[in-house]
Amino acid sequence: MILTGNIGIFAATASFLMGMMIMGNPKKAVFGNFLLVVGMIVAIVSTILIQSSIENGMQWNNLLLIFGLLIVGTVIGKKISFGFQLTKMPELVSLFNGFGGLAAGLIGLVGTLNFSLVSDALSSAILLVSVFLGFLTFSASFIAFLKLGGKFKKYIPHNGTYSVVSLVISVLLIFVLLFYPNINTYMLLVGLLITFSLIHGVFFANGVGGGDMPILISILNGLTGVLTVISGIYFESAIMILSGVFVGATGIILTVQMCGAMNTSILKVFLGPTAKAVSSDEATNYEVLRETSPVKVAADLTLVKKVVIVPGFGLAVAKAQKLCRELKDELNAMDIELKFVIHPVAGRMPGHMNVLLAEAGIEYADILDLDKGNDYLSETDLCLVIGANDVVNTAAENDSDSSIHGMPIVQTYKSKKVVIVKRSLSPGYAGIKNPLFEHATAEMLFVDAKEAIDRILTELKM
Amino acid sequence: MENTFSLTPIDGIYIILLCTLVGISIIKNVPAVLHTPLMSGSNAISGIIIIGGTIQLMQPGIGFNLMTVISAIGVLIGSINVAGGFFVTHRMLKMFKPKKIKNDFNR
Repeated sequence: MILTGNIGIFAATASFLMGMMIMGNPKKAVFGNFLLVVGMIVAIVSTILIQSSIENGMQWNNLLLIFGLLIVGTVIGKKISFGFQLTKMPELVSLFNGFGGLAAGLIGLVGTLNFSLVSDALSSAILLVSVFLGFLTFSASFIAFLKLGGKFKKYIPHNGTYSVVSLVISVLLIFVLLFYPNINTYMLLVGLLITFSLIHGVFFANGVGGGDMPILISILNGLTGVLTVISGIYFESAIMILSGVFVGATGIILTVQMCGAMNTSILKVFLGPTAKAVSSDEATNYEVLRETSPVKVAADLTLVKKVVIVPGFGLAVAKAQKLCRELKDELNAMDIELKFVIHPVAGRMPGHMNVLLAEAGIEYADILDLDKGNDYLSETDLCLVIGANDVVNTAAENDSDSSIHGMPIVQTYKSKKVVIVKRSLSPGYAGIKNPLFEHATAEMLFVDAKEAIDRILTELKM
Repeated sequence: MENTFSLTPIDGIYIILLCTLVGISIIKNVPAVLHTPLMSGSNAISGIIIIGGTIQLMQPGIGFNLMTVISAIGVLIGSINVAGGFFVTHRMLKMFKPKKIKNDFNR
């Protein structure tokens, strides 16, 4: 049994490795994900096999309970994951991440409260840290979930101070519990640790500005990885350490890459000013704006050869991806080239916009990344900015006082003409004015993204 | 217990070191297009923490008390994380299979 179990663990490890490797290939990625699922199932079954053979007097009732829990959890997880639209993926990822954190926190808590099992200082340190990180990840992910859904937009004064204070208290509590354990106050202190971990998570997540949310999710994802590693050391499970390190590595790499794409640093994300000083009046105060209509845009389209669409989250919200695809077919039939230029952080997460366009059936070759897109834009006749704002904000290049200064943007102004499709002049996620709207070649189309494309299409087909 | 392969902390450190290198080199090759699915996939993997809860629930002589209940809740929530994460990843990755989608759009 033990041998079978260990072979199983080996197979699960191999399966995880292969799965991750194949996940890098867009066409085979589904199979990669399938391998990860197989690895997970094999890992759990093997652990149960090993555990049941080394421990005598194992309780089969509990085995039934475990399988019951796994099945119920799978059903709930499936229900949740299909209950959200693809536009809400980032929220979903942070919600599930929160679940993972909570599970780790609870499991660590059980270990901490079981005095009989905690034998050495290393184990108790690991358990206390996993309680802290687990509950922190839970509350932080939950706040991220709410913030992404626009349900939580509170600015708390002195947020940073509260964050630091709750962190210091949590660390102190861990030290007290480690070095001066007292049977009478132990439960109380652990309770306090949980409370302050939760509080710290709230302030930690709340301190991150809206635009930096993807970075926060990635960091939280990395944190659950670290959690898994330390729990793996405690439970002496190689597969837990291994998968935890993978998750941690993903978190680190994605965080670094995203910081690069947004020209920010992790320090800036957490210590930077969270309050946007610009009032809403100032952010929507434009002097010269040229307005256009779907009819005019359609007329313009018939006269050009190369067209670019810069999609943003607004396009996803309006569910206009499929219409984009129709527009593309229509233009291609008229011998007009249409490409999509996607900013690395368009949408709410890197690659989020790509998923949505792929869903609508737009091929890879027609989706350009930032560098290629900016080259292509200099030979473009007409550029449609649909539902994007901050990623085309020229203040990032010209205004050194701007909060997004230095962020690479899609250089839409290089195109001979820019049409910005936007419902109103409301600022984007960064909450600042966009000088592109006043650019000499820019025209505004104040219509909902879906309606705009629909009307342009109708005009083109006439 | 004699014939189990248990890990020493040193083994753990070696595993961490090697896996970090392997992990980084694998993940570096993932194109930006797949970063969202990758994040959600790795998020699902981190739910492997339920193994810990499973081990706790299988301890000999464990009765029905507060600890069991907390462990059980942990396993339940963890399995939501695992299953949900994989389903979400699958939903996203399905979109990258070009041929199937084309047929839906034959207007």
